[in-house]
Amino acid sequence: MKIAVQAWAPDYGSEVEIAWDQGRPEDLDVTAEGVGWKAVPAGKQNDLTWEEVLFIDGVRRTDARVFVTPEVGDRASAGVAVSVGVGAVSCDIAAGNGSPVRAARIVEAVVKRVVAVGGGGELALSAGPGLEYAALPVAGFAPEDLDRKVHDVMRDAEAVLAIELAAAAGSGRLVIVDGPLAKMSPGATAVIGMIKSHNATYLDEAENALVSELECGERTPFFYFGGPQRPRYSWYLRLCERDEDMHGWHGIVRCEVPAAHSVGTVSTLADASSCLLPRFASLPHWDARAPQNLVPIAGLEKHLRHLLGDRDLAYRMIRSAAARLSGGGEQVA
Amino acid sequence: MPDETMGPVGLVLGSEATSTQEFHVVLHEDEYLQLDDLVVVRTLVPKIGEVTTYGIVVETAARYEGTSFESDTFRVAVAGTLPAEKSRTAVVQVVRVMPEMWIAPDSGQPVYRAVGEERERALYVDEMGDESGARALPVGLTRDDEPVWADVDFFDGTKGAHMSISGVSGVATKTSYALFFLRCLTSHPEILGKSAKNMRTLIFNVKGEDLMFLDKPNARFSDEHGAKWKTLGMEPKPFPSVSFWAPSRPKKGSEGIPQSSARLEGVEAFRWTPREFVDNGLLQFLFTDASDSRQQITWVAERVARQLSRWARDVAGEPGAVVLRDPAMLEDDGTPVVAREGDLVIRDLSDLVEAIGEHLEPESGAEPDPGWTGRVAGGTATAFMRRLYSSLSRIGQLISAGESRRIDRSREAVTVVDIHDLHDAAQRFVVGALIKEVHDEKEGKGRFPLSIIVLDELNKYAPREGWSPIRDTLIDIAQRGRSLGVLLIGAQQTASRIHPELLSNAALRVSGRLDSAEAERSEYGWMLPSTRARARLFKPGTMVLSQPAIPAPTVLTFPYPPWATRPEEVIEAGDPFEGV
Repeated sequence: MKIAVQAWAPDYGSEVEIAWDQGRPEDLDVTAEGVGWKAVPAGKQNDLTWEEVLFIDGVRRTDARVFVTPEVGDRASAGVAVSVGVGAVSCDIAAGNGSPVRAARIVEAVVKRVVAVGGGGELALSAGPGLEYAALPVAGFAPEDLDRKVHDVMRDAEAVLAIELAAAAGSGRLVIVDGPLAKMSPGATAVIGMIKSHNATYLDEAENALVSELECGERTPFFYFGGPQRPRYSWYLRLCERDEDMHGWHGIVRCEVPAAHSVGTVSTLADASSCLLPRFASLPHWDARAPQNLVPIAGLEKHLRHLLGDRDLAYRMIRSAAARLSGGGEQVA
Repeated sequence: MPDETMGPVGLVLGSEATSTQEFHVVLHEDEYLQLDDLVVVRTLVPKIGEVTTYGIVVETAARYEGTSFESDTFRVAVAGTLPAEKSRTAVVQVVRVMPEMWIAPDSGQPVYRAVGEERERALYVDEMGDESGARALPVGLTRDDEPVWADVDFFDGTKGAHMSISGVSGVATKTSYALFFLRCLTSHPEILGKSAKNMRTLIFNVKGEDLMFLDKPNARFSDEHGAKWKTLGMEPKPFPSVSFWAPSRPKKGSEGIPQSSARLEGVEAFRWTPREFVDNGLLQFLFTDASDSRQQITWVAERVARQLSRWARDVAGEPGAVVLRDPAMLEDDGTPVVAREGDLVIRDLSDLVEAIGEHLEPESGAEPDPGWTGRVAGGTATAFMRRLYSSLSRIGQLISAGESRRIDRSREAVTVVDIHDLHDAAQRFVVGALIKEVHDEKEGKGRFPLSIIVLDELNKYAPREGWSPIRDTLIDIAQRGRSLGVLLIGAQQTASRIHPELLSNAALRVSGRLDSAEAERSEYGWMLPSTRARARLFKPGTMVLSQPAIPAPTVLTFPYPPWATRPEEVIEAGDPFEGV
């Protein structure tokens, strides 16, 4: 028996928590790349045709939980006031390559605030300057329903930003989105979703063995799956040196791109990811989710959290706004 | 109103609390602030209205905002992987609030550079002077070549007096600044008013020959230097009215020829006649060594000096010489006496010593005359005589009969006395004699006209420990100089080694570069901590000035002198070889 302590700080969950018995997707095709199931070496810097790489990420924070009782009827419903920040960092494509580069800079940072209320409740809160919470009705009543809906707000905002940025400057930008792609839009040519942690497996045991054996910068061949809703190509990639004392999935990320791309384009994107991402990997003492939480993304998250404002202040402002609304008898549909 | 056409340099930092003493400024990307810059902020205070805060930059800083690891700097600057904002800030010390409501400036308020009238207000120029006229004297330049002012009221005795200059030697700034300051005083009669009238300055040239060419134009002086003088409202000219004095040469035949290695022309020889020596009580200045005070010698000296003034009679036909006659035997009617056969006519110091010896150590082996010794133990009288003898070779040249060669301080506005070639004891003798002369002359005569004394190496004349007659006079000048009209510009390497009275009575304090250990001493408590730290690094020509009129010390520079400070800089009026 071998026991490895997971590298992420316990508060941040786990980098690998796979339900092995979940079964292989029916449409899985591991021969999509056509190179045989073996490690693919890291892509070459010279093959990169973009000028900059953009990292997109979002953060969210629950500012207050509310409970809404309508004037008529007794179907009270729970709700959450949430602040969401989404932004992008632009890095020189040569960043981390040792050559002198332009400094990383935040090119976009937007904050959205919503109040998600179950049972289709529509409640907008104007808590103060810069603290306008838009209504977000949620059909169900379960906390997970609210959670998913809010998460979708963030993912959608990320996806919109990703497509907008990738499209804006044509082929000059490669966009890496932190997390799975919410929109498998074929219009965006160079958008890669990067998934930091793994709680599902798509491959069988023999195929998964290759993941554990990947060296730094190596990736698996890309494979196809996703069904009719989210058809995509995906591959596993190791960001750091393989450590014998660690479990085999330490430092592994999964990348995905929409299946609308041609195999040749996917191959280029996959090679670009294996060339670039290890350079941006963070170090264990630097980040609690190293190496998967990339340095530019960590910087962006810090910036976005900062933009969300003071949580205690938001909480107090929401309380006073709620008191005002209740006193004023404002209706909740 | 701040000059808003220039735009603010930044905003009052809001992530840290402001106070009535200090606030931070976060700078705009295309602006900067450097140490000593003056800034102004306006705050709208409820119920009061607008309050204007003036401040001086005491520190500046830059950092990557949002980075927490040292290595993040590489991630930001070299690797380009971590996004971070570069933020630059300045720490501002509040110097003035108008109206005087002590309220901290609001965060986020725009911060402007104080220029023009605002700058003058930050430096309290509007408070220098009264209905009768402005009293703000330009005394230096800031780093950006704008004038810095001092309130003359705090130098000329109106509200305060004296200037104390400290700084390590070799950087040649102490005396240079003293002279520059003098030039400021003499160039602005309109600011000095009645203080300027007949003002006389006595300067001792203690080291080298720097001060012997104050009246000569400097060949290295350029138009660029001149522009700085113009900023201060002064014509860059050498001192117009200076007399130079050097000790008379010791050799008999060279009597009346100045002993000055630096300059021959325009220098006059000085010395005292035995008559002047006796009348002015100069005997005490032969005993200025710290060890003299411990052995009752000064007491004997006092006694002997009194006897000398009672016994001394002029000698007919020999100006300046005296003979000793017992006043009990011959009443002093003030007429010269005719020297008799065997009379000891005192024509120089050695005659005087011999004459004194006749009373203190009679050759006949008789007991010393108690009228002269005051019945001290025999050993003390012997020690006294031993010291007198030893002073012969050191000070002898300064006493000689003949026509009077006293230093005439009234002749020119500035009197330079060159003592750098003299033995230490002789230097103390000259300084002591002249300072006493200035002091006694002003005693009981009112403040005007003013007398200024410039003295370097003050620690030698007024040390913290020990006693000397010079120290006593200097302390008296420090304490009463304001009312006497005697103003001291004292310079020393280390303020900690001079008598505290001299420091505490100096209204204007100036310091150049300081030794690090020295800068930590309490004598420099008037500096801001940041200025103290910086005082170790001051370049020649950079000084910090503290004056009662401004609560924060001002760092200043002063322009290159238009007068020569060594022979090779002198521009002679004509070609000396013309016509040869």
